[in-house]
Amino acid sequence: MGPRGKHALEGDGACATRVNEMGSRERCGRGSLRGKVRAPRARSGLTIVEVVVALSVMIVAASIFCQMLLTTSRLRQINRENALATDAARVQLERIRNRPFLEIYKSYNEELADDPGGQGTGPGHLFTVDGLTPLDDAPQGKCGRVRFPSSQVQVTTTTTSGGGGKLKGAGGGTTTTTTTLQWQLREDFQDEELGMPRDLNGNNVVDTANHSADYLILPVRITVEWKGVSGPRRIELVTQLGDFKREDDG
Amino acid sequence: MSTLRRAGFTLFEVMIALALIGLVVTKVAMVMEEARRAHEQESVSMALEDQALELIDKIAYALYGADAETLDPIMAPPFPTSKVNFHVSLGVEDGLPVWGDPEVIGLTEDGRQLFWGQNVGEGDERMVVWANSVSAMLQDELMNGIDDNGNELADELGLTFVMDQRSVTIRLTLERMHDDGKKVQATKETTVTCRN
Repeated sequence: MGPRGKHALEGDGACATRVNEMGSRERCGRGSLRGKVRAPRARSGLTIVEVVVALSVMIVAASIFCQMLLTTSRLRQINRENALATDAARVQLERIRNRPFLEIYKSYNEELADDPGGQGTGPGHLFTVDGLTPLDDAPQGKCGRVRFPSSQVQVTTTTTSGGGGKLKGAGGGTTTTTTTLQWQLREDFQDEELGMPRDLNGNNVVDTANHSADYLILPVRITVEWKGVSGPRRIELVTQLGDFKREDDG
Repeated sequence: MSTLRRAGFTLFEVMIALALIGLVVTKVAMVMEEARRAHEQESVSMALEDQALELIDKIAYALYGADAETLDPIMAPPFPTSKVNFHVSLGVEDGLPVWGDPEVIGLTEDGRQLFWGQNVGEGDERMVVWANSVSAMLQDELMNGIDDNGNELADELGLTFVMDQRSVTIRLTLERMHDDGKKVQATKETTVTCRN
């Protein structure tokens, strides 16, 4: 142990001097302890300020380290979720390709009534993704969704029944006008990412008709939305399907 | 009269200090060992996942160019197959498609090796083993005649193909034994639609 804290007393009686730890002399003032009590033994150790500072530094370092571990773990989870979502979207696209080309729209659109195998028999526009949690407001609690350039439009149908026997328009019949909402594949759909509006049936005209039965090109957007570890997440796959065999088949 | 003061620790203090240090060091060593083992397992698991992903992509790309009508055998759920024969389109000549030599992807007889072959059984036969760590059965499946893992297939092997019209669903489980005897498995699944 060094000289730190060791104080030697010396003097000529009236005024004493004390040798401090640096070797220099300093004069003792009033209240000198000489001859009354022994000099207090200096305590070696750390002050409370030093302890608090050291602890603070340690806590900050530990919290940074923990934060780093958490971030790494979260990044890994985010990557896993992204991989799952991308793979699910890609597999869904492969399933879509597996259908006969002109059945794709009717099988995967929002409309149940036009499913090729009968009402509600198609896979529909929503799909689940194993391993991902759907958003709270997800339709039917499903993460995945298939979209086409289609809009819901009002269709008015007029039917005449009864009266006039076998002669149509002979008068006396009942005319019924029904207005229904119908999903239609439209060339005038506005969506830049899907490349719309554009000609879908190959007649070089962008019109306002329903092309759900005569399309040659079918733009598709597949979206997967889920509740991720870092909040709501979303990926999209946009592509265009084409029927290159139709001319030969026809 | 001054007394001689001895600086140092008593035996009791030293014993307590040593005991505490021993406890702390043991605990730290246990934590480190646990972390090391977890890291190693994670590394093995990740490597296996990567290998499974790479393999399933390789199989998928091989089948993309195949003619759906040449797929053999055609197996629909709940009957999978662990081997598929196919022909790949090489292009078009004079308006007609040109087909490549017959190819096959499947498991060897011992069920542990995944191979790709071309012209199998002929003079110019080519065979390449793509992996030799294929699991005997698909993950969570047992050889008991029922569907244990809920994928609508019964008793499927480590590599299975299921056909649906022009699409093929491929499932693959790889496994590796860890140093401590634990079995690590990685399973991947994908669906491809033959483009030809």
